[in-house]
Amino acid sequence: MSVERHIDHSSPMYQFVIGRLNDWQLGGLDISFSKAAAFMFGAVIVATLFLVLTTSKRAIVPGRWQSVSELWYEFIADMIKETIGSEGRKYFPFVFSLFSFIVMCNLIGMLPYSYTVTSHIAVTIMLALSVFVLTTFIGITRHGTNFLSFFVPKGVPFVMLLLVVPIEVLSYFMRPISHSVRLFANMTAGHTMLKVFGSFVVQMGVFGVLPFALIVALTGLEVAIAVLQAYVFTILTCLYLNDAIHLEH
Amino acid sequence: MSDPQHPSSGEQPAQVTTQDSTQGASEGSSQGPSLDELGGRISKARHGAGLDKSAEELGELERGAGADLSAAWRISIEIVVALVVCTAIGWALDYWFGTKPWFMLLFLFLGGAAGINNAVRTALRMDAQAAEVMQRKAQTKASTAKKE
Repeated sequence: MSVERHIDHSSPMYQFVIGRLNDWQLGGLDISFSKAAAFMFGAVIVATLFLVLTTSKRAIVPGRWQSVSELWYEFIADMIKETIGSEGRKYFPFVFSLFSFIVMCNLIGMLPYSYTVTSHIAVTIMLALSVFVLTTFIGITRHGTNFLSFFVPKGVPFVMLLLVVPIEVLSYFMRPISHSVRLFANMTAGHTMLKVFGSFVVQMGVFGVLPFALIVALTGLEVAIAVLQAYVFTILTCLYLNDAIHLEH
Repeated sequence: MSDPQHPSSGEQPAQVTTQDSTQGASEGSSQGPSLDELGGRISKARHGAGLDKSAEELGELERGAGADLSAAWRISIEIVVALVVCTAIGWALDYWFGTKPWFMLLFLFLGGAAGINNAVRTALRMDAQAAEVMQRKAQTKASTAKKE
């Protein structure tokens, strides 16, 4: 809240400020509807509307729009089939919603004057933690105490285990952090870079054409990264699910 | 990266399938072609156009500047995150127990090891995935070459 006042409007970081759209207080808790919440709702609504409207005809031979939705569906279905196998089918709804949410947030963030929800670690870490909690839960319920063998690599002498097991455990707990930081850092870095080059265009006058050309290229790259990072986040989710289901690294 | 490729690849199967469906409707009786028949035709047309979805899609994502960047991010972030977070954990433990600097030193090395562990694992996975994609491509190439 106080951050809003400290960040200058011309700063490249100003785009990440979580503005409040109204002022609601509940017993000292700030429950105002924020810009971030609005864009999250927006992403969910756009994704849902797109999928529902394009597939509403349920044509056996898909039209162009239905093809997009089917491609979207098959992309995730194939990803799950390839990384987890048939046992992963149960988790398709979770993985599909995760991918749709992230890709929509990233792509909506590419529109001018919009806001990128995934550029906040608070959002990405909650997504990553939900994956972490889910995979750990699946691992424990499927394998019971056997799940602990995940932290004990095979064929390691006992003396080395004293060192290897703590490292394995630490590695496991680092997963949600690297999982979330990767998405957050990519989105924040990309959008900051665009804003910085944007300010160069204004400052350099006639020579601003050069950074402008660069921005055009960077925007293309950013759109690619928006999709790619959603893909990376999703495939890592699949890999973690696979680890929990099959107990192998 | 796949922007110039996608619109064209999206249109081709649509045209092919609509052609097929009109043919099928004229050939078939009141019910039209069966789903299996249609599926067979679509996959044949896809094969002919050189579009084998999933493998190709993965391949497309793995290519290009954005993909290279993300591969670099994917590995380097594992190391940085583990190192930074573990050192912070060590620092916090020292702060609580008053044992400066021992826990921090211990966790610095543990964090480095955990980071390398995760990074190597990620790299191995990416390698295996790339190998799979390459293999599948070689297979589809071989099968199309046989047909021709």
